[in-house]
Amino acid sequence: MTGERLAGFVVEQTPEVLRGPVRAGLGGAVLHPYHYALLCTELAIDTTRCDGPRLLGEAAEYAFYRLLDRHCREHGVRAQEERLAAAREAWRRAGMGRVEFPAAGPDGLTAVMDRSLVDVCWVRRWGRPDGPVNHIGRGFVAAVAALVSELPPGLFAVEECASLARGAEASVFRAAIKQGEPT
Amino acid sequence: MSVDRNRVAAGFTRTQVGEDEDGLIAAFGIPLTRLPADLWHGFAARLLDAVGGELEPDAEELLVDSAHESGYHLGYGLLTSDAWRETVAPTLVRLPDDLLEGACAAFAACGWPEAEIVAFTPGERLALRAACGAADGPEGAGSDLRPRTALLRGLAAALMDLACADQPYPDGLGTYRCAPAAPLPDGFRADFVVTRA
Repeated sequence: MTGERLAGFVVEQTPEVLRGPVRAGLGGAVLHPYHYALLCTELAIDTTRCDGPRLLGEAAEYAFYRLLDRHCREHGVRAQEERLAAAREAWRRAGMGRVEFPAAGPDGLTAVMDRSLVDVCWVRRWGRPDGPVNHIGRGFVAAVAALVSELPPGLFAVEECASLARGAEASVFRAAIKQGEPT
Repeated sequence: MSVDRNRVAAGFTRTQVGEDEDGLIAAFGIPLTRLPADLWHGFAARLLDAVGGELEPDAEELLVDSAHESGYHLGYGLLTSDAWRETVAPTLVRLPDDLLEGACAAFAACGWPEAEIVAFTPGERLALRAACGAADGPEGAGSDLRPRTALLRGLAAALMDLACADQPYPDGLGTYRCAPAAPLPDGFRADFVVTRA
């Protein structure tokens, strides 16, 4: 068994946790080491003149929305709980961590991530950040809010209310319809 | 070249890669993500559009750096994996040429773009040709290939770092550099040339 300790929990490589062939479910996905998510996040945060975090969040929102919307249409997934389950699975399959949705409705939702690759790896590489770092997660939550509400992407604002990277026990995101957006 | 790309792809396709109960993927010795390619192309396209003007080349180079480091670490993981040892290593005859060919095939099996080796002078120069106009989704598609070529430039340089750098992993990162891509007249493919940094 090989393992790598990541700031408090161990990522283990064992036959039991390795499921599915390398390309299974890739469906337009690509394998990257965690460095890529981390370095693109850093690049986004450093790009202050054009709100880089927003750009990364939007890219994540539209990519996950397309992925989830296609999945739901192809599999006839319409119920809210089933859509949330699909979102949890997509996030987990992407290797981004664990997410739960304790509250969800047509006007928004709450997402809780008690395991998050970006947060953990950020702390490991650069220490505790001053501000939010999981902009990919923020975009993902906006995509799920749109999916559950059966609205197009781009209508939900997502706030990170607590952050694993900044010392909270879990990251908490709240999505709500943007002010002034017609629904 | 003695490397059979289909055999490499089959070998890595059999490799089991999955997430644990925490939603984390560890394979090839490192934590991995399996995010939509759309996400990365979408971010690159948005970033290059937003910065614009004279800062655009700098932004592109930063995207290349991210892909370079990413490709270097993933490449090392692939080249030291069981799948490589079992499937590819026994077929390597001419080094480092065959190693590069096998690495290109292994990256493609992981969802990275297919790249063809056009010319290679060990230790000095690598020329790759790759399709970079195809989009899995609408993000990063269109006539501007740069959101996609940034990833390939990083990959090309990482391959040379792994195959030919004087320093072994992890100190060989950045030994080589890939010049800006040269799009081909078909508007779909581009050439990538790597030389010492």
